Amino acid sequence: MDIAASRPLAGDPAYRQRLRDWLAAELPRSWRADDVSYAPPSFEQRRDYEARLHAAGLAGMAWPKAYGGHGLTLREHLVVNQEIGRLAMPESVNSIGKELVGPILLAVGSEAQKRRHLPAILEMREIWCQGFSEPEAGSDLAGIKTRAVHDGTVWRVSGQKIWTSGAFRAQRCLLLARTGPAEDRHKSLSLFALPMDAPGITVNQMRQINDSREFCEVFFDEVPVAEADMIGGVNEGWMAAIGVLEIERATNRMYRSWRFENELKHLVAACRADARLAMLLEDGHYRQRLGASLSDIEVLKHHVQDAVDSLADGGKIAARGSLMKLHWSEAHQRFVALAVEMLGKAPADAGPAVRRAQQRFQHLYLSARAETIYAGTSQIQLGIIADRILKLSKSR
Amino acid sequence: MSSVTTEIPDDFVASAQRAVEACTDLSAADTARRLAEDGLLGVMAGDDVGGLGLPMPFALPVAGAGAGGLCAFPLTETLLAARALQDGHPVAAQAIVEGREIATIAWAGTVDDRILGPVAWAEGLRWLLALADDGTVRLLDLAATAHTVAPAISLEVDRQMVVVTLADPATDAPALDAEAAAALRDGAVLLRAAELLTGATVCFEQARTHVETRRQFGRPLAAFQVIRHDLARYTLWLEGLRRTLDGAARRAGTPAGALAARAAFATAADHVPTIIEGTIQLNGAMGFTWDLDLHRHLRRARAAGDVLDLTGARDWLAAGLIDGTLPLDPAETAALDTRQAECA
Repeated sequence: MDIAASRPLAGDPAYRQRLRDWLAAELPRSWRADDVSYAPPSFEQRRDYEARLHAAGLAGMAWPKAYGGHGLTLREHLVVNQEIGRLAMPESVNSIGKELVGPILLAVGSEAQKRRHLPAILEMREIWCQGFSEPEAGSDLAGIKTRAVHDGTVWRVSGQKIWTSGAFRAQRCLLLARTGPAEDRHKSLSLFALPMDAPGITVNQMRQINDSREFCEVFFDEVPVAEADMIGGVNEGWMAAIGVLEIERATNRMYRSWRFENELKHLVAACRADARLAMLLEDGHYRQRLGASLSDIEVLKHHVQDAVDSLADGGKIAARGSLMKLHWSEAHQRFVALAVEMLGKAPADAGPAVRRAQQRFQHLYLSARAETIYAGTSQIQLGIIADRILKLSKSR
Repeated sequence: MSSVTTEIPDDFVASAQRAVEACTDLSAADTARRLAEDGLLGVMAGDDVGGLGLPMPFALPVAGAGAGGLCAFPLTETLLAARALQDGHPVAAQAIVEGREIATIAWAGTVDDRILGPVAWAEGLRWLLALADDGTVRLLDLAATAHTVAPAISLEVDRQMVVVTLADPATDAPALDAEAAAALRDGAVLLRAAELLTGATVCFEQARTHVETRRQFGRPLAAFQVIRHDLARYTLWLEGLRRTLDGAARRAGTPAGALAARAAFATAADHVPTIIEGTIQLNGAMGFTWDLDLHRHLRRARAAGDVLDLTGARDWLAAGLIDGTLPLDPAETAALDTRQAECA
């Protein structure tokens, strides 16, 4: 059943109820991180589940139907994200494809690229990774050294990328490479849809602080890339993509507010499940911090609503996405630190509900350290706000 | 960054600011008359009592103008009292709207305790709304109620802050039942957040101008990354507050509005003093003088936490979260927004 097939949608309570019904029926309890029976699904299970999410009308909401999307608006995208966020479901294994590659292709990709890649992303036939950062170019992307040289037939890519999540299982890499003089900085960068099964690619997985091995370093040795796999023109793709990325910073993983709220409710429920932890819920100090976390979530929700309203009304987000990114990443770190602190006071013989919460929040605490680093560090976001919103002088 | 809310036309905001500026150095009685002539005191009160009957979003820039202009008059309390009294006490409400009589509200203490305050005061004030232990609100006619007034110990210098001691517990019938009292408090939380936002915005813009024009080490202060990041962080806080305040005002009078109002107030009370303290720092030694008004805004912001309890706002949020009584289901909020859009 495609829930998105009937209209009207976003303002219709029946639409939301259909989404809820589908999720209640199709998301196994054991996949929910707030359930005592939690057993994380395998990659293949997550991939197949995401394909079914799309088929049911819960992914690709605002992408055109011609490219596999549902042809709806950001308002339906918001409703779906609210419902997804309320459940502690597994994170997408193709968020790069859906939230980065898709919007870039829609904006600057060729017709053939759109028709080839967009349906494949939504149907989970193509998992993408992001090849932007390099050992010497993290925040300063204009300093990348990976180079693509045209040999008269194809582009040849040589260099190294790092912190490339999921590269070991990706079919494609959204690759940023230098195609002109290094001194031209941003103006000599091009984007490619690089096939990860091409010859000359070496992928090494790296152990992260949360014990995951999603991070990879990827080496490219004269890797051939067809001309048709360049996204946008030579030295043009990146500049065009920047505008898309601004919007994405505000709209990707829009479910965060509601997932954050799910985590907050989970913490409270876990505390209620244990007499000693329940006392913390009566403690003024912890109540103040819980109230502050809820306040942070409310602010985040209003940022999201503002972004959706602006875009739906034809406005622009510009650098305001940095406000949202900075707020949620820092607020979430504060909250998960609180959760770990509270749950750390549980007795050693705490029951399964508390142990599940301890496991979830310990993992979230460590994982959240990345949230103020990826997609532009907090320092980069502050710089963007100073430059682009406040337009503060830089000159001598 | 100049408006307290994006919901209201700029000319309405500007006229509220002009009206408040025109009251500088006027007595409380003259201020009341002047603001009444401009229609500001009855912005939310119904036309039966001479008000404009406008929804809550229109009150935000009025309260903000009072704070931004460092107005001595208890403007926020007047706006709320006029609306709260319009049904049960229309004669008093009309007198307040017309600026003939002055009202205020005591947010701390109860009539049963007899000690109320700190209270934002004004000379010649007649009406005092005060809480009772049973959650209702009593209306005290100070002309007929035995009481004493003493200065409160407060950082505030522009507004007169006092402690009112009643000779006897008030025994007359409540002016507002518990539900109406809760609505009064919801409105106060929202308008106080608007005051805080405006005060911080005034200081922020002053500091922004300063760092763009003040040169040290051969370049503007704004060119130094540490200063750019300070201002960027203040912008993060101000814009988050502004958006939450907008949402709270749009949903005023509903459970979702009460939730957003508490979040806005908690955010404001957390960050606004820090922002203003930061703007004093950015102004260097001049920030530490009476030549700049920054400290006056800081005093008012700090006093706001005394007048309306910050920890109470956070605890209200925590209690609702723990009890499961907050309207956190997005379906509820969506239904509310749909109804409001249809009404509009």
